[in-house]
Amino acid sequence: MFNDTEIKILSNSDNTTILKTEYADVQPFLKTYTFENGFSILTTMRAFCDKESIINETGYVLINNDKYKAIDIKIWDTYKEAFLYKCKK
Amino acid sequence: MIGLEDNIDFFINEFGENIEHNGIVETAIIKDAVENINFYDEKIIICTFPISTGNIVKYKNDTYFINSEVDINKNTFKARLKKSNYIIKLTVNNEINEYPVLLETSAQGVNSNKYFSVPAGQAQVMFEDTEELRSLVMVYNTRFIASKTPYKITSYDLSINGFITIIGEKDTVSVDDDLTNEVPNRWSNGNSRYIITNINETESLSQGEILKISPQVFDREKNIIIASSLNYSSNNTAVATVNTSGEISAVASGESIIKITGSSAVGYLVVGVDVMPVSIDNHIINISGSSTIVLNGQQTYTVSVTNNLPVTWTLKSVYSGGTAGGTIVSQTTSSCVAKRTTTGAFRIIATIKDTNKSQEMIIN
Repeated sequence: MFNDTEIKILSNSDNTTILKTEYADVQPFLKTYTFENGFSILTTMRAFCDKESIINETGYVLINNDKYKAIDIKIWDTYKEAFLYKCKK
Repeated sequence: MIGLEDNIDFFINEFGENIEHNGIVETAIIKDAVENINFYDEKIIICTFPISTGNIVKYKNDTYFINSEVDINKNTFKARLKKSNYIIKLTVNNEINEYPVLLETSAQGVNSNKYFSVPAGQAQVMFEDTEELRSLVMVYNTRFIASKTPYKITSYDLSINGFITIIGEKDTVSVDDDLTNEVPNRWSNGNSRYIITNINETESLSQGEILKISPQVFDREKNIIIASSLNYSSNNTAVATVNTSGEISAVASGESIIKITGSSAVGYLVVGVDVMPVSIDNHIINISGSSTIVLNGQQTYTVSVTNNLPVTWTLKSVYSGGTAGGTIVSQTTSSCVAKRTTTGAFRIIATIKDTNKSQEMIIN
């Protein structure tokens, strides 16, 4: 992994409180998640983070001042893989 | 399929839109209920605040009713919306209130989305269930107008949660009904359909001044000016008079009320006229009499003055410093007799007493 991208873990959707700044390997990646009531969410990034990362599925992250929502987190043996949706608001 | 519950804040934040629920601006997710476009606009609302059947939701300038049971989950409330298809107008305390409803007549079905679900001659109206509307519409024979047709309420029903459902039967049209704007009994209790417009409430005039007014008759039902002949009258002609053309003449100091009535209209407006005192500079003096007097002859001259103020009479030469070629034989405060004693022009002058305001006539 190239942990060369700064990601700021936010406490909520407001950009007011940064819980922690981490470094991750962020790559473009397209994946669609389908929710009830016909909502489809297209994630456009995935971030490979340290296993100790505090990123979770309820949180938001800032990458280069763009806000992303972690839609899905896969926890592997040595790292976490977060699928990120770029927020419009 | 992933549920929304755990991420509802994200979905509300990302996909929510501003709505007004019971008068409060909120954010909720609004989605079309069906993918196909059809005549009946139905939507789904998903929100995090409590909602109930019958509640009114305003969304993008349209009014919707929650017309399904509410699906209550751990974090969300979900229900179906139906767009209000009519506005019923009722008069409350002399004001016209508008109420969005779901209307079903024999020609337009709402609940069933089918035609002819209501017997001919009847209308079914679903109001939001509020205390105000209970007191207004749960009264037999209360009238309402829908599709230019008056109805009177013959029954009501509260069995559908959140709604007052009333049944109206066709009623006869009353002369007091405003069918254009669908307000029943609008022109009763002293509310005139016609009013006089284009006129000030008060006018201040100086004595002798003439004011032309051009009132119009306004039809409040059709929201237009109508052609109508007008009648004018003054309640105090000693102060102001008015002719058939609407010209008000200020006669004397005081107050007068000019009444205007339209021949085909029932409305009228009262105009008050204040006649203001005239300053001495604006007084008018007119001398009447012959402009010639033969040698040793006499002529009588009279004067009319604003407010009939008294005058004094004098004769002067037409040349500065010259001697007038005549004398005043006799004079009163409004007339005089002048006599020519020599040839040549002279002036006869009437001056308002105790002022410098005067008028003159050349006598040859």
